[in-house]
Amino acid sequence: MSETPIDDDLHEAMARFSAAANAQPIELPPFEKPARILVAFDQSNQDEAVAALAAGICTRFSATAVTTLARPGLDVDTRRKHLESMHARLAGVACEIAPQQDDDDPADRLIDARDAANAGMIIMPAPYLEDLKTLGRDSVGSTAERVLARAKVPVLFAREPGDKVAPALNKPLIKLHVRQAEAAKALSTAFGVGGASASYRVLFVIDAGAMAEAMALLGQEVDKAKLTDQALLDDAQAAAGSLVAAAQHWAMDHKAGMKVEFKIGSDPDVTAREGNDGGHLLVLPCPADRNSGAYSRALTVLRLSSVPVLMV
Amino acid sequence: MLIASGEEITSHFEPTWIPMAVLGVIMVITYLFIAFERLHKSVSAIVGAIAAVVAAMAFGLFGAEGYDSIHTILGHDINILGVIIGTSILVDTVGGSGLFHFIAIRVVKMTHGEPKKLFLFVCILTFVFVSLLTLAPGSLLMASLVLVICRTLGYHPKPYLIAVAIVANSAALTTFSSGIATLMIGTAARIPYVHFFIGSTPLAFATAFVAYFVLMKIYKKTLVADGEAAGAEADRKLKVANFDEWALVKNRKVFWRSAAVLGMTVVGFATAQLLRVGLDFVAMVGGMAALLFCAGDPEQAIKKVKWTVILFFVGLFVIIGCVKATGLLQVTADTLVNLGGGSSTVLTLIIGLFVMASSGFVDNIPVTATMLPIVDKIARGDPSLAAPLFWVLVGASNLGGNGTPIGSVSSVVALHALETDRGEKVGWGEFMKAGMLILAIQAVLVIGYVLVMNWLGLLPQLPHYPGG
Repeated sequence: MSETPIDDDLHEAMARFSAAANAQPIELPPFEKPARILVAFDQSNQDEAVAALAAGICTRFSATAVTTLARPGLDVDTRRKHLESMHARLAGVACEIAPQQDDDDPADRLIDARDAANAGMIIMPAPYLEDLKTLGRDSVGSTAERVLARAKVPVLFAREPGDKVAPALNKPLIKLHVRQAEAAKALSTAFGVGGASASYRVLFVIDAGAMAEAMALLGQEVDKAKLTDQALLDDAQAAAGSLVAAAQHWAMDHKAGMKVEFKIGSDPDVTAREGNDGGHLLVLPCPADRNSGAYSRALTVLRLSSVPVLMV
Repeated sequence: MLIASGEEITSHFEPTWIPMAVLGVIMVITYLFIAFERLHKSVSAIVGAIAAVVAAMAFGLFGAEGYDSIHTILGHDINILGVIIGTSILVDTVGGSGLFHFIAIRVVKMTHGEPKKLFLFVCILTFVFVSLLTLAPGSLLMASLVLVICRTLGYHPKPYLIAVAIVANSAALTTFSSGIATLMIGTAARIPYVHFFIGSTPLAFATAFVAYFVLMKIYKKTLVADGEAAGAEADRKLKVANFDEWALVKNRKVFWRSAAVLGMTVVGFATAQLLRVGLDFVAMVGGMAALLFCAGDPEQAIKKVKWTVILFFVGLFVIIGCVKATGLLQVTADTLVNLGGGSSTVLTLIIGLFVMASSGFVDNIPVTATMLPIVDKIARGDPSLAAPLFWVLVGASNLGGNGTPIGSVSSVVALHALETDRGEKVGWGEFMKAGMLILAIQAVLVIGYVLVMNWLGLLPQLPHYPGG
């Protein structure tokens, strides 16, 4: 006779084995290296950050940087001079200036420029107001949001100013949700951007409180005794098997560093904190449906992040 | 144990029957509370210890040293507590890397889901994991694996879980640190770690094989896949082939580091005596190395230490120390020697059978803790009895639990897992039908092995009892 076994330990071990047993082999969608990347400046103090990120990404993909100035109301010469000065920061990268767009709205300008250039990715600023943290946390410009909603291609946002952001490209933090359709694409894109030399973190966040609220909003019955962080953690660990295995196999094939984590807490807060504290490139799957919870969560993470954020 | 250091807390007064009777009754009542779980067993042990200390103080059993004797008693056993704490931290942290889960899935894939092969591999894995991780974590890991595999393949988990319950007790014999009872005996008798490979590991293999063989016979008809059609078999094979062990590995660097830390700790245990350090030191170094290099969460890992077991031990050690001070254990030892007429065969039989029988109903830890000072006294009186009695104690204390569904940690874990997952209870009758048969064969095997090896002079002698 001895210790009564702890059910939590049993469930935890079962959840982990379930991850292996239920891991449906998934193939990561192929990532097509963009041949042309739209790089948007806005004549703000974030241009240096955008240039640093663009230099890193365009070099990695041997892509052409198609540059544009999103700020309206400037004459052609001023635009050209500013963009040429930015080209100087993209040493070794083939650059061209995007055809002039006549839209007044910066978001329209960018989307039209992307279409005209047939760019496979957009790199643009989304100011994180360092001096006014509170405001900065709550305000991602409407331009960023509207571009994201219509982009159809991955969008990389530079958040904080400065040219020291490039190392983040070698430290992608991929935040996934186990049952999110875009998760595999986010992995594939992150691997494409980071390459074999990067060190990856894959993060799953468990938030029982948010889950209970969502269920209540949908009119579903919430059994709080069962809807615990531990139960959701077990479920997430079991359900994440396929994604984790796909990530691990890619990392093994390419000899890249890989770390998978499950954290309990408020989803946007935990994700942004992990990204900010680690100086990562945050990679977030972002569904096209603007009314979805996942879309709004991704935007909240963007608002809270001071590191570059790649929305896939 | 008191005997671990070769010192004793002796009474300064001539022991009389009154303190012996009072302390003996306190010990028996405490064991009954532990056996019937009227209170949590740690609470029973600590309350029993408090009563024992009060009685011992009232009878003046500790003489001038007084209450400080309790600290001396506990000081002798601190190494056992150190090993439990260190290995708990190590196992929790290394387990978090997915290493054990990874190995388990890799091995299961080798069976292609074929029920009989799976049964064999469940036995082998249980043996390996319990040997490495000790009884509780090893059987928990295997019970959870069995439930998931059986759920996936549509098999009934009962035969596999009963195999986990019973084979685990054999595995606890494998090394010095595979089971708590083993650890207590090894520490008390100062058996070199490597001597376990000679004295105990063959028994571990042989008794595990007996368990496998008998269970295979009993559950042969159950160990058949539900659908034997070619399609079902192909489907089953595909399901097993699709198990992806890498889904369990969160960080590959940590994974490999964990394997290295675990391997080095096992080597450390084996070489501790050469290095002139205790196993508790090695366990602590292993635990801390895991926390430092295997991304361990100290808060989490330290919380997972079985503090209830530690308190249980503290209580037990104090009770036995107090009882020992009355001279009751000496009297018991003398009685046993007289009963056996000084014959090692009879004494081996008596102690082997008594410990096996009592371990089925009372936790084998208090049984072992009580028997150790008794065997020590017998061995001091006649060193030639040391080897057979300590070795039979190793086998009997670990295997005695096979007889009943409450006899060992592994049975409790495995049967609880079955009840949790399937809502199915295994009754005493059903369990004992297999358990008692296996235990009977194992009893013959253990006692026969010890007697024959002792007769041939092949049983590893115990350096702590020179002249044996």
